[in-house]
Amino acid sequence: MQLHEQPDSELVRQIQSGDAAAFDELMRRYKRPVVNFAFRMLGSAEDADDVAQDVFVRVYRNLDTYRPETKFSTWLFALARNAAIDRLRWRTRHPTESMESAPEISASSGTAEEVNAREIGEMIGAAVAELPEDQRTALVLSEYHGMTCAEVAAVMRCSEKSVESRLYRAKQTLRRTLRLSLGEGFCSL
Amino acid sequence: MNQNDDKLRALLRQWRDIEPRGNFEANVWRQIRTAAAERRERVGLIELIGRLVWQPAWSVAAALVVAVLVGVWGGVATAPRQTDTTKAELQFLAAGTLSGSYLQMGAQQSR
Repeated sequence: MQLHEQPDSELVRQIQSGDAAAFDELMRRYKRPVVNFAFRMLGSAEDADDVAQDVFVRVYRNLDTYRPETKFSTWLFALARNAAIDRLRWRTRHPTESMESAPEISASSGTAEEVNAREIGEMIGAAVAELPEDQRTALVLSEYHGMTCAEVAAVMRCSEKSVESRLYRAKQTLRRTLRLSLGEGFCSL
Repeated sequence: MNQNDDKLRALLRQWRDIEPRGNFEANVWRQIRTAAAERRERVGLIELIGRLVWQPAWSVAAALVVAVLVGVWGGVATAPRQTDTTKAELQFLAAGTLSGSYLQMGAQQSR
């Protein structure tokens, strides 16, 4: 069986026995989801890339603590969440240094449609950034990574009920914020 | 409620994904190698200290350093207790005898 056809658990077993190509395959599969998870948690593409790289370093170093009965993506996103929280704490401790990696406002280049889409994206990003970390994690995993409440609960190590309540509160806050920032066209949100 | 959820979901989709940097894998491998090299250096240092301790000259020197440190620490730790003892003796004498009260007066003057 080719590397790209093998399940995650088999790749993990191969990495544990020293196969570097298996780790490359794991990175190829998950780098985009992890970078985008970090991007939506931190609001900065540069920070997201750094944090995602750190996540894969943690994966490689802590692979012996991974239990095969857990889904690999659940374990990976739990590590990614911890790395994002570490970065958020670092920003709180180093406010001046972290100004450079604060959420970016892009230059208004491209067609009117592209600019409009980008501006809406930035407003959504700003609204999500205002959410408390636990609500943001639940929302990002559920809306952008298609996870069920049970999967989000496994990543966040809490009950499904508490994920549901975090999602409800996050969506309520987002509706309020986005109605204000996007204007009348979005009153029916 | 569900219709509103769909609208919100459609809006959230407009926050587009980003692409990882081109040298992503290479950077991860570089960090893994750097961390492994640092770990080897740390282990090397611990091993070196361990080997030195097993040589008689170094182990005697280390024992002497430890003895001196323990002595200094003991001296510092017991010094305030001696002062308390002297004070207690003076108070005991002053309570009972004339010479004791002279001794206490002397001690107060010398302060």
